[in-house]
Amino acid sequence: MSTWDKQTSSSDEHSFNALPEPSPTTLSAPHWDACKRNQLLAQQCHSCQQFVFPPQPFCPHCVTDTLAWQRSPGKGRIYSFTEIHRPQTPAYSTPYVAAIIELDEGWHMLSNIIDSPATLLSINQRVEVVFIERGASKIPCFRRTL
Amino acid sequence: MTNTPFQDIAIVAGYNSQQAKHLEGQDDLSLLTDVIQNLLSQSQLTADDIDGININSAVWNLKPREALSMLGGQERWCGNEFMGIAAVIEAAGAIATGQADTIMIACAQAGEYSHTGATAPWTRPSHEFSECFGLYTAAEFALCAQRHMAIYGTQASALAEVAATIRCNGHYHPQAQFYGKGLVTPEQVLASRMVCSPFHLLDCCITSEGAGGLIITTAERARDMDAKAVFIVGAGTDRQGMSYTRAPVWDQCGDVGQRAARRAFEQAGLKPTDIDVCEFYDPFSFEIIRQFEAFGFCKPGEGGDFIANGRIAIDGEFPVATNGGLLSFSHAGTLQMLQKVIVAYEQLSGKMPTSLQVKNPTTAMATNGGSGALFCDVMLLANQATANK
Repeated sequence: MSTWDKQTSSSDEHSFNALPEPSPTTLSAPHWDACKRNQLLAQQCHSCQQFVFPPQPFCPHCVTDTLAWQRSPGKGRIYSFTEIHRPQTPAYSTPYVAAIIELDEGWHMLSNIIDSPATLLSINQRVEVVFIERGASKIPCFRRTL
Repeated sequence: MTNTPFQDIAIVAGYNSQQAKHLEGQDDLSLLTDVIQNLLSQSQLTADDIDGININSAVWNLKPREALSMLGGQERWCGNEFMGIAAVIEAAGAIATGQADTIMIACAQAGEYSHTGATAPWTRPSHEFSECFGLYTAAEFALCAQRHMAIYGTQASALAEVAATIRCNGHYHPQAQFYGKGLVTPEQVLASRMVCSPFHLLDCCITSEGAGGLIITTAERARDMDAKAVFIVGAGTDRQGMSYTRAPVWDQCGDVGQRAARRAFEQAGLKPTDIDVCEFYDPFSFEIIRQFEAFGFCKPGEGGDFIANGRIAIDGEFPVATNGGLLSFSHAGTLQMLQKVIVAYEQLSGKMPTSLQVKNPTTAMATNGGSGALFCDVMLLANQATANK
C-alpha cells in the first residue's frame, strides 16, 4: 500500500459538547496553576525589566535567561475587541466578546470580556481580570471597570 | 540592464482545476493527477523533463518526498515549503543555485470540512492562549481590523467595497466556486449576517475544494519552449512566529510584509506605482486595505480611502484579487496561497477570462498571509526578465 494511501477518516470529527480547556506546557504551567488560585502571572526579565507573554524560555528582548514569574494586578485596557456571532464551536453561546487586553505593565493577552454587551465596550475601556471556572481549570477573563 | 537576484527564473505553466465547495467523487490524489497531466500538456514537457518537485496535499498528508514516486523514482530535487509563495521562492532558489532546472509545484485539497456547526477545522487554533477564548482565524483578523478602524476611522463601507469588488470578479471566472452566483454590492455585504465584528459573512473567505500548480524553469529553457514565460523579479518573506498563538497586536503586526515588500521592490527595481496587477491575499476584506498601507501604496491609515471609487476594480489603477480571490474563487487548504502566483502568471501571460483580463499588464504583485496570521510573503512578477520601468 502506498505511503500516501488514506488510512483514517475525516479529521473533523471532534466532539463539540464542552468548551475547550487549556493544555499547559512545562513552560506555561505556572501561569495556568496560578489562575486556579485567582492570580494572573506573566514573566518579567530581571535584566531588562520587560514583561514577556506568552511564556518564553529566555528574554526575547535582551536574550538573558533571567525571566521570573510575576503577579500582575490584572488591570488594563481593551486594546481591541470583536463581538463573535459565529462561534468557534457549538459549545460557545453567542454572541461573545474576544479581546486583546493591554495590561498596565505593558504586556498583551487574548481573553474574553464578560458581563457587558459589545455595545457598551470601546477600545481603551478599562478592564480587570476575573477568573472563570472551566472544568478543572480557571480561565482569566476581563470585565469593565470605571 | 542587470539581471534580478533571481537570475531569470520563469514560470512557464500554470493550472487550476475547477474550484467548488465540494467536488463530488474527487479526492486529493485524483485532483493532483489532473493538475500534473495538465501542466505537462500545457508546457509540452514529459515527466522526465521535471527534475524537481514540490507536490503536497493537506488532507491526505501527502508530503513532497512521498509524491516523488508518483512521477517515477528517478533522482530529483524535492522542496519542503508548503505555503504558496514560499514554495515558489524555495524552488526558484534551487534553480538559481543550479540544484535543478525545471520544477513542478502542485497542491490539492478535498474532503476535510464537513461539520457546519463549527468553523472550518484549519481556522480553529488549538493553542492554549487562543483556543479557550473562542478565537478562530476570522476573529484574529477582526481584532486587527477593529483596531485600525478605531485609530484611523476606517469605515465598514470601505471593507464592504473591497469584498464586493473581489466577489464580482469571482462571478465572472468560470473556475471560481462562486462563478455565475451574481454580482455583489457593498450594501449586500453590509446586510449579510455578522460573523465577528466588523466582518460580515461576505467579508470572509469561503471554504473550498480544488487543486492547482505551476512549472518554473530557467529563462533560457523557457525561450526554447513554446510557452508564455512570466518572470519572478523579486520576493520576500516576513514571519513573526506561529500564527494564532499570541495576540495579534496591531502595533507589532499591522505592517507585517513591509520589510518583505521593500526587499522585493529593491530586487526588482520597481516601486508600488509600477504594479499593474495586485494579487493580494484576501482572507478578509480588511486585509487588502492593510496591505496597500504596509507595502507603501498609500500611507498608514489611508487604505480605506485608497481603495475607493473603483481603484481596485479590473479596470482600475490597482486591480485586486482578479480571479475572485479567497472570497469567491477558492480557499482550499494551503492551495489558495499558490493560486496567488498562478493568477499573477495568468494575468501577465494573457490567459485570464476576457472580462477579467487586465489590459496589457507588465507587472504583478502576489502576496500570502496577513496581520492576523503574523506573516506576510510577497512576490513580484513581470513579463520581462528585467522589470525596471
